[in-house]
Parts: sequence; C-alpha cells; structure tokens
Amino acid sequence: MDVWLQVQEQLLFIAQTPMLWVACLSGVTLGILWGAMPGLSTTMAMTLLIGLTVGMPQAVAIIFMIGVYTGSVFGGAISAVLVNIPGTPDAVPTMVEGYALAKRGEGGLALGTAISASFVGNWVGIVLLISFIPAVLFFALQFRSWEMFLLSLWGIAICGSMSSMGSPLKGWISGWLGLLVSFVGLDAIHGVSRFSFGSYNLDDGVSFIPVLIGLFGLAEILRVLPQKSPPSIPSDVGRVLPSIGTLVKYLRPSLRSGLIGTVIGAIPGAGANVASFFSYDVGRRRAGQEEKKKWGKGSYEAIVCSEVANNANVGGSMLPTLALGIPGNAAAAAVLAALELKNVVVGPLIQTENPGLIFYIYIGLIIANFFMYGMAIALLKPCVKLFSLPKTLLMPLILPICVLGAFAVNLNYFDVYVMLISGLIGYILHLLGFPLAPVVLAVILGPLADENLRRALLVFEDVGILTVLWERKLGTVLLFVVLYTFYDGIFKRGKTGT
Amino acid sequence: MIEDEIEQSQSLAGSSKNTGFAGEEDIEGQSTPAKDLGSACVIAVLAITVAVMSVRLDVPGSVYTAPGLLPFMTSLSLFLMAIFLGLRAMRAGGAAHFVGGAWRAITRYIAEYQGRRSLLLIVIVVIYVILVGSISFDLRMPTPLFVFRLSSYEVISIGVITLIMKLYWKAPLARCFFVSLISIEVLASIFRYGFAIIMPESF
Repeated sequence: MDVWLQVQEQLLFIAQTPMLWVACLSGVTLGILWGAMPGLSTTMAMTLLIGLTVGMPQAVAIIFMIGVYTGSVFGGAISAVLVNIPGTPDAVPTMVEGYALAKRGEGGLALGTAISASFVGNWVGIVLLISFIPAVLFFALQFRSWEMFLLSLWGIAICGSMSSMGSPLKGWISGWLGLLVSFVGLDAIHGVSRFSFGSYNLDDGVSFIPVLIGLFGLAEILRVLPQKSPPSIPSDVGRVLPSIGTLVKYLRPSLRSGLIGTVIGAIPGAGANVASFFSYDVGRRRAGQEEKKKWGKGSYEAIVCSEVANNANVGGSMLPTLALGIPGNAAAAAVLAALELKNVVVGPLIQTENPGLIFYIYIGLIIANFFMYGMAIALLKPCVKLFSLPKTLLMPLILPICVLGAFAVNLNYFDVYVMLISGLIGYILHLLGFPLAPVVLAVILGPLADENLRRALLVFEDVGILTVLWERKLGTVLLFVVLYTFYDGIFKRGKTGT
Repeated sequence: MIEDEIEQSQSLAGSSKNTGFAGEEDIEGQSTPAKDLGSACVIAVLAITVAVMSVRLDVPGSVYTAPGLLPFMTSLSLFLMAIFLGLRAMRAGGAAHFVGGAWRAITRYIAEYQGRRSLLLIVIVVIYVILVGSISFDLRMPTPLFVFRLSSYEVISIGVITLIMKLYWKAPLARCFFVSLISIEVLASIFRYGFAIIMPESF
C-alpha cells in the first residue's frame, strides 16, 4: 500500500476517535507531572503506567504510552531547572544551566525555552525519521559490539569533561567510580557473581534509578537544607515563552541538536543521556565567544542544545524499537513491553504484520507533542510557584518522595538503602569537588560497555589490530574521537585546572 | 591557621581561573589541594582493591570474555588517575601539613554551624530509612465509603518530616505536623491508588 495512503488512513482514524485524544492528553499530563517530581524518571513513569493500559484497547493504550513518554521526558526539566534535581539523567545539562537562570529570577523563561526546545526537538526527530528511515536504520545497524563499547566509553568520558571543565580528571574519576558500581552483580556473559559479597540483592546489580535519586535527590537535600539561608528561586515567573526572534536565533543549534538526538536515539542502547551530553558538548564548541562565557552559568543556547537532543531522541529511539525489536533506551523498552502486552509483535516484519502501525505511532508522537506544549505552558506557572517555596519547607517534603521513588523501581527496600548510600557518597563527593553526573551516566552505560567489549574481543580474537582498524571504519573514527576527548581534557582544558 | 589561609587562597585561585564554563555548579570551588590529595589516596586504595578482586574472579571461558576484564582495566586506569590527581595536588602544596590539615578540616567542619546541622540531618535521614525498612504494619479501617489504610511508612514519615521541618524550617510544631501529614497522605494516596504501588514494608 502507498505510504501516503497509509498515513491518511491513520490520520482519519485518529481524527474520528475522540477517545484517542483523551488518552493522549491524559498520558502527556501524567508524564509531565511524574517527570516534574524530583528524582522520578521517564523509565519509572513508563513502567508503572503500563499497568493502566491493561484494560485499554490496543490503539488507546499505544497513544497513551506515547503521551506518557513525550510528557515525562520534558517533565524532567521542570525539577531540574527549579530545584536543581533532574527528573532524568538526560536533564542534567538542563539542570546546570536552568537552575543558574532560575536563581536569577529567569526560571520561567528558562522553562519556556526548554518547552519550546522540547517541542522543536520532537518535531525534528519525527520529521527526520519519516524522511530518512532507511538511511538512519542503515547507520544504526553499523553499530556493533566494538562501536557500542566505544560509544559508551565516549559518553562517560565526554560527560566527565563536561561536568568538571576546570579539571576533567575529576570528572573522569567520577565516571570511573560509576563504572565500578555498574560491574556489581552477575556478569551478562557467564553469570559469574562480581563484587556482590554473597548478597542476593547485589547479584541483581545496582539499579541506576536509586543511584540517580540518591546522588541528585538526597545529596541535594543534605547539601541545601542545613544552610543558614538556603538559596531559593524567585516566585515571580516573569516572561515564559521566548520571542520568535530568540527561537530563530537558536535555529541552527536546534537543527544540529535534533539531528544528533535522532541519530543517537536510533542507535540501540545509546539513549537520551548520551544524546543530551553530546549535543551539549558540541553546542559549547560551536557557540560564539560571548555565548561560550555564559555556558555553565545560565545559557539559553545550552538549554536548547540539551532539550532538543533529548526530545529528538524520543522519535529516534522508536525506530530500532519498532523496526528491529531492539529498544533504543530503557523507556523505549517500556513502549515495547506495552506493545507486546497488546499482542503487537515488533521487528523487521512490523509493516507486513501491522501495516500502518509505524505511521500511527509517529502521528501519535506529533499529537502528543502539541499536547505537551500546551500542558507544559499550563503547568509551568503553578510549578514555579510550588518550587519557589522556601527550600527549608520544600526539601523535607522531597525526602519521602526519594524513599518511595527508590522503592517503587523493583518494590524492593534494598534499593532504598542503595539510594541512601548513593546520597551520602554524593554529598561527600560534592564536598570534595567531584561532579556527580558522570557517576550516574557510568552506572547506566557500564553494563553496555562491559558486555560489548568482551563480545568484540571475542570476535577480534584471531584478527590483527590493523585489520580491525581498517575494516571497522566507524569504530576507528569513534576510537579517535575517544582518544581526542582524553587528549583535549589532559592537554588543553587540564592546564586550567587546580 | 596560615596553612588554612594558603589552602583557601589556592582554592580560590583555582576556581577563579575558570572564567568560562565551570561545569556542574561551582564544584571546582569546593576542592583544595589537601582535599584532592586525600581523595587521591582513598581512590588509589579502592582501585587496587578492585583490581585484586577482579583478578581473583573465575574465568569460565576465554580470557577475552573474563568477567574481571573490564573491572580490572577500569580499576587500573582509575589508579593512574588517582596518581595524577595526587601528584597535581602535591605540586599545588597539598602535602604540606597534610595529616594535621585534614584533622583541622574535619574538626572545623564539626565546629561550624552548617557542619553540625549537616551531621544532624544525616543522622536523622539514616535513622528514618532504617526505621521504614525495619518497622512493618499496614492498618486497614473500613469506613462507609472506602477502606482507610495507614502503613508504617506513612506514620514514620509524618513523624520524621515533622521533626526535620521543626528543626530546619522552624515553623510552629502544629504547622509542621499539618504540612507533613497532608503531603505524606497525598503522596501515599497517589502511589497507592493512582499507580497501585504498595508502601515500603507494607503488605
């Protein structure tokens, strides 16, 4: 059947079914509210809300989950900007920039910029995917074990450099500490128990969500609450939506970040975290001298780079999920689970077995994007008012959310202890001047790096190094990029460190 | 005292060099050469320990798929990073009066108003988490309209959050209790009825 005919058919179906609009709006609203709660992630929102789709018809359930996905990715930016606690790891760059702006009374505009950037990012992701599905799929399939290992390593290295620019060494140390944490548990190839000291709980590994909540939620409470006069953000929202001129000014970084987010989203396993940090780094390098000075102290362009990339990643991550049956990230894995719950078998035969489903999903993403924009603007002022309450009142209220959030991941209280220990370690690391973002990213990417390195070494067992470098050109390019990141950190930025 | 001033001025000099992007907040301003040297020592010991444990792990198949391969490589490179950090800290004067300076830093932290409040908060949070994890009950009281439920998580949370608010927010006790009660009950209801998640250690 003609592609455009299928698109028209899906459009007509959605337009004639009001229930789908209601489901999408509900999903988006729940997603934004969930993401706005400090420390509660997109993946948790997706996983927990799958339960609500059990009684829904297939089409309603799919569009509801798409709404949750789109809403929660943006929602993470709200708490990141207003309370300095990111909802998701990919909101960390937004947190660095947005919170600095919020303290200056520009929280409304920072969030408005994030909303607009998220809207643009979603659009870029959807348009690029619809236009370049075959090309993106081909590129994504070039990433095999060796390339995935290098991509994971590079993600941690770049995050280390970016979060501690004066001293990348400390950023890398944080990342490497996170890697050590990620190795705890049964190894993925042989099932050998590593560093678990006989604990069954540790055999399951350390989940990244309690670590995220501990490092950014509990550590922030321990750091801010005891201060004599904790910093708070002004309750006056001020201007919210950026002017058209501002949006036009950031058009180039938006398109670039959208491209980065989509391509990285299409690489199975890479996820929004890598996309967000990579786009943030590229944005800083490409920014003008004046803008570069603002980077890290409240740059709107930096928020655009980060938010466009992580939202474009939503569309991108759906491609390998639907076309290959390999989720682009953990949240996309939840979409996969929701689809399987509705007897939709995804994979290379999806167009044959479920004709038009891909287009239905992309139209769903477009509708969810519009709802996200509207709901985000509607919820923005109440959120700013809520989070501008005195920190001495707000922070104690976040503590039980941290406990419940960590527990809700696996309904296992052991995760709350992981959150507690992560929080205490995060507090100490902050006192010693180590950045926290690389720890979380490394805990997420560590298992990916570990498994792929060993697979790659097994494949390369009888092959010479030069042959590998020549035959795996993408891997070779990535290898040089990784080496350059370390060179840049040691010999260029490292010289300005303490 | 002179060493403290030198340490502080070195720290300030370090942070002021970063006129551009400073990274995740102003964490550079937090570090001093003495702190870096201390961190380097702890990280080096940790790296060596993990390296030894990695080598001792079983190798069921080829060495290329050894479970301890990447942990060993990671800990080895972490050890090298710790050495670099330590050397850099020593060059910046971190070794001078290191032991005495470290002890002074700890005693100063405890003596400071904020340090004492931080330690108190840490103790309360640790006790809170342990209490929620150890005490387990789930009361159910049928009413004409619904079954009212109250778990150990809610009771302990209301008590602890009231205490924290009283100590740090410094509002009247009744107000702290009321805010704590409402917020915990709303949160518990959202999770229990909205997302069908049981409360920690309830059944």
